[in-house]
Amino acid sequence: MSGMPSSNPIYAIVTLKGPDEVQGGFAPVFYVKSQEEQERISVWISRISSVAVHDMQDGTWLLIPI
Amino acid sequence: MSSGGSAPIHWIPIGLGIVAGVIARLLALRSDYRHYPGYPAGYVSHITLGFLSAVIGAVFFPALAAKEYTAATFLVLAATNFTSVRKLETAKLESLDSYTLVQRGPGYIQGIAQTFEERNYLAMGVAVLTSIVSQLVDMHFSHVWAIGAGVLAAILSIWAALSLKSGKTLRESVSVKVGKLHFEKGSLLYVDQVMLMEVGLPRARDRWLKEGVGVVITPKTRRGAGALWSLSQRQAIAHSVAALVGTRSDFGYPERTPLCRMELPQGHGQAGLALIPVANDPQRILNALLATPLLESAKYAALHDPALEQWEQEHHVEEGG
Repeated sequence: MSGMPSSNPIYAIVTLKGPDEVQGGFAPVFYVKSQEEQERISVWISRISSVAVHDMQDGTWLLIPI
Repeated sequence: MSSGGSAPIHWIPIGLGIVAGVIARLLALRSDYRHYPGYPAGYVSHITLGFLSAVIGAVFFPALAAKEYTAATFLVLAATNFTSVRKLETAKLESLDSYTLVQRGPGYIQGIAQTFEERNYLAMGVAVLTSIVSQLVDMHFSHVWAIGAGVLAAILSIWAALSLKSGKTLRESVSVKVGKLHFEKGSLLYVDQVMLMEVGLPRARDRWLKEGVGVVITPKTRRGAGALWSLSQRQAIAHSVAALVGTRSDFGYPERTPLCRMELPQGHGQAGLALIPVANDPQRILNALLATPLLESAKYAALHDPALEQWEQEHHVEEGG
């Protein structure tokens, strides 16, 4: 936990898009079929690892430690 | 007076110096109830240190006058000691900070630690001045006059020391008002026109709209404008407010972290604060914000930005305030 704004690496990617459009570099990618599934997985990872969920507004959510 | 152990001991200047130094330290202690120390144990350690610095300060001049030069070098030892006090305070506060949801930040911690160091020097300075005046009078007039002059010197030097310790808050340099929290472009959290952060989870956005409180901070002096641009100062603001009104946040809920950010991309100089308070009382939140200390690291920047200009026009203030 850090209150300091920082440039942390992406922790995980949760996306409605397919593997042809979104691929993980160093961050794991969760491919989901619906927005409910996207929200459930994102919330759980967020609560477990204390990472913030950011909506890229194109069906991809990035989970980034703050 | 001869050197060696047979020199007469001047109890009046020493006693007055010690008492004055301890009083100076005690009076300075009163103002830090809000940040630290919070417990009697903390007070005891600071009062003890204050007493020791007063003793060292009080014997300085009597020792010199008695040609006890070795005793006078104890002053140097004390300075080293107080520097280590600051290091100790820094380490202590940093370790506390690592387990605090809204951290004080390094600027705030250095400010607190340095203040503690300075207050020991002030206690020592008051003791030195009091004992010098009292002993000089004692050497030329009577004991009664020495006590009178010592008390007068003590009062004056304590007054000077307390005015030196300053401890300005943001109250003098910024004005605050409650702003409206809203989302733009779907998920960007704004308070009025100040963008704070991206909130990705829909349920978190609902929470912010229902329970969140936003504050817009406008500089009203050049110091205030400079301070707001300091990241340390804004972290201190977020910490103060969260500490005083509480924040409904925890590990695992990073999207609820209280934030204080500048208005950008224009950068006209306003800042915004948002938090989900435990005590949802806007007036208390504003008061908590205004009670935040103006950090030393932010204090010497004096800027003039559009937000300040607008405030000055609205309140008919001449430039350079």
